[in-house]
Amino acid sequence: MKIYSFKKGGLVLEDPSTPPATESIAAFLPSIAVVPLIQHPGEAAVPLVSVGDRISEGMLIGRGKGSGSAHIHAPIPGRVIRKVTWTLADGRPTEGLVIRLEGAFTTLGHRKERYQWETMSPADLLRTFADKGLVEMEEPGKPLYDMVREATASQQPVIVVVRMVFDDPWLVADYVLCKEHVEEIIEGARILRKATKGSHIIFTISEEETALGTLFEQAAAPYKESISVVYVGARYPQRNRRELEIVLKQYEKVNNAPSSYHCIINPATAYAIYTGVVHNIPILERYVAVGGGAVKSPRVLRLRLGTTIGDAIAQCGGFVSRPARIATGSTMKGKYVQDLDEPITKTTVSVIALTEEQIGGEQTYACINCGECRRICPVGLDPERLYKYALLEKDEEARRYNVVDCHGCGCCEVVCPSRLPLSTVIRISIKRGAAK
Amino acid sequence: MNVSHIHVARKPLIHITLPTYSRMWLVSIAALGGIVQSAFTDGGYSFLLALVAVATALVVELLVGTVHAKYTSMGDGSSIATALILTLMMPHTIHPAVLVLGVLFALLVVKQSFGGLGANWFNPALGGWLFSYLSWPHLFRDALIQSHLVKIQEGIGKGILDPGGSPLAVLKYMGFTTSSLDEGIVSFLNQTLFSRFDAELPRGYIDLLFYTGPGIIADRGALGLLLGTMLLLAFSVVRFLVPLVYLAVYLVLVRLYGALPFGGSFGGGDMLFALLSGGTILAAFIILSEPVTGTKSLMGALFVAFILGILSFVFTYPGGILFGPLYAMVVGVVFIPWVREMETILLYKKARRIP
Repeated sequence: MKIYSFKKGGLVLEDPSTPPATESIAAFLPSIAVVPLIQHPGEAAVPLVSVGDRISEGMLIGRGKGSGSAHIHAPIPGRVIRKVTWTLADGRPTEGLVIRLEGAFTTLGHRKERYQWETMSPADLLRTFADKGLVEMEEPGKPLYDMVREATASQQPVIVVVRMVFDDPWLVADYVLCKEHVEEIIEGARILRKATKGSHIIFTISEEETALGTLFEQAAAPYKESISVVYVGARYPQRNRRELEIVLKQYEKVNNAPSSYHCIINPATAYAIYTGVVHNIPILERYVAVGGGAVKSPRVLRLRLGTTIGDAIAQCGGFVSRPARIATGSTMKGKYVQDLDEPITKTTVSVIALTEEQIGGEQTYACINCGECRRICPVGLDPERLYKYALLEKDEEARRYNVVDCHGCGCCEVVCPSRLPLSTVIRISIKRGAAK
Repeated sequence: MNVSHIHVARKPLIHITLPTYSRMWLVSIAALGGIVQSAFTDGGYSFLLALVAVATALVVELLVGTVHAKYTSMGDGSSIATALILTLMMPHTIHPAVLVLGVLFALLVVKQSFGGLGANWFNPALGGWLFSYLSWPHLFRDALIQSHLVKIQEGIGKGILDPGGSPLAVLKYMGFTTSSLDEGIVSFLNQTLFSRFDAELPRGYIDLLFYTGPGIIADRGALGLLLGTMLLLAFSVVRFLVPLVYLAVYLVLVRLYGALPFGGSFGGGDMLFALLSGGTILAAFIILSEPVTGTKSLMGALFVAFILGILSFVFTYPGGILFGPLYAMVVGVVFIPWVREMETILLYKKARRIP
């Protein structure tokens, strides 16, 4: 078994406070759902309902507005009781609709219909992706419609790549999803292959998960499409697009395959494609890992979108100690939440209640030039220098030192003994430089 | 974090390495190991010197904090580490006032005048040591006049040479006798361990490990300092390869050519003597591994360690400087900015593409 891996930098992450990767548990339905109109990188969806309106489960309640924006659907049936606005951790204002659970479910508890996607054209599939509000099921939540358009416009053969690379322990929800829905994920990838007119499907799987790889190999065997399982290193940030591209190019070189465009999705997105196209159901729920040192019983929950983070934690037994911070995403690439009433969205991979001990201190000190950031940077940058340029707003100078190659994996920041927000400040420099 | 219209959230949310202050405290503990050992045999004077140095460092930080809070490094422990490292470089009988002035120079001139921790281009402890030594050379000379290193130089000056090329033999000719502790331990080791390999450990090395005569505190606390460095290695404060390369280069050169000044022949140099004297352990594990005035990359650090290993030998043996390794560090630090610039050009500036 050949293992493909990026060469330098990166780190092995472990976290004992993640939920066990054994099974998912269906969470209670929320009596109140908060549905943000921004769950994607583009503009906010335009609300199609008003306060007081009755809505049904899966009803379109927000229409995506242009590139980068996606439709929003009601995760529960009920009545819109309020419009709310709040500020996200990155400073962006957002607004959402508060829905009170009322009436009957139209999909939950009902037999799911199966639509024959094999007869649909790529254009029809693309339309379905947009109608169902399908997005990449992790930050920043890029609409699938945009991803497919980019792939087909690339003028290269397209390969659909499902990244089942668990280099971050907080991807445990994706792992459980993969174990529980092998067939569905393969079918979702096949649908995407057809939509992108792709030539091949690759499941990239962490080297430690050979059992999962075997499951996918066996399940994919009957299909006539060209499907491969490729084992990759488990060192963070193997899952990042850049590091994944490196191993995919290694794989193509070894197999004498032509250089291709890689349409990379995660397993949750493949599952959402399956649900959206085969069962005609938009994204209403997702697998979320709820845990952290401050949570009593960390679990992988199947949560309805709009469930508040407070409710999600309550379903895991609440807190055992006072959390220092609560975050969504992962400890490497996530973001803090401002309060427990923030909701689960399409891109919420996990909810983490961190203790002070887990954070490891936030008091910053002067840079001591220890070189940990340079040693760990998978791109081979000099984060210390870039950080100092960023503080001085010397963005042009930073560009000379390849600051734009930084993909924000956060490795430098996590190993910095002076606790400097290297990655964060460098991202600001990149954005500021691009804006000039 | 919000800079005008740019939206970026702080991440990541955890930190997995020892924080700066913990590293500084570990360095301080390692330094204390040597100081405490030295204090056992000088009635606690070495410890008193360390206390004076630390107190001076705290007062400096308080003053700096009062005048300009931004530049104080009271919380990170770096000033205390500097004070203790400087103490290690001082003769154990030096007047405390010399140490106070050395600490003041190290912290106010070398460190704070360049912007505090992380901004200084020269190692503050080395700066303080140079300042003290060049300002009051007679005090250093008086304090070290009876030390084993000075006695060896005197012996060579008088034409006392050993065909085996051993500095310990020269010391013996100069009237130094081995202690009963050395006799006992060396006899035991020879009977139980070295006899199995048809080898014999000469007398005198245990005395070097527990050196009680006049000298710099680092040499008088060699064992304590060695134990302290293990702590630094265990917590990855020091990259193991860097002191290893330095010591390997230095000691191999000593082995090859180190016997010549003492009347010996090629290949008969005394590596253990070189390791346990002249501040070698301090230079290898603490000064060379100091990050602020270090290189950017491991490759650069290994290159510098290699060069400084050669310089340490050149200064100590052909040069006859008592503390050659420490002088080598001074010279090395001066060239580090140039090495860093080269590293930037070679390692970090060129455009990178996915292969």
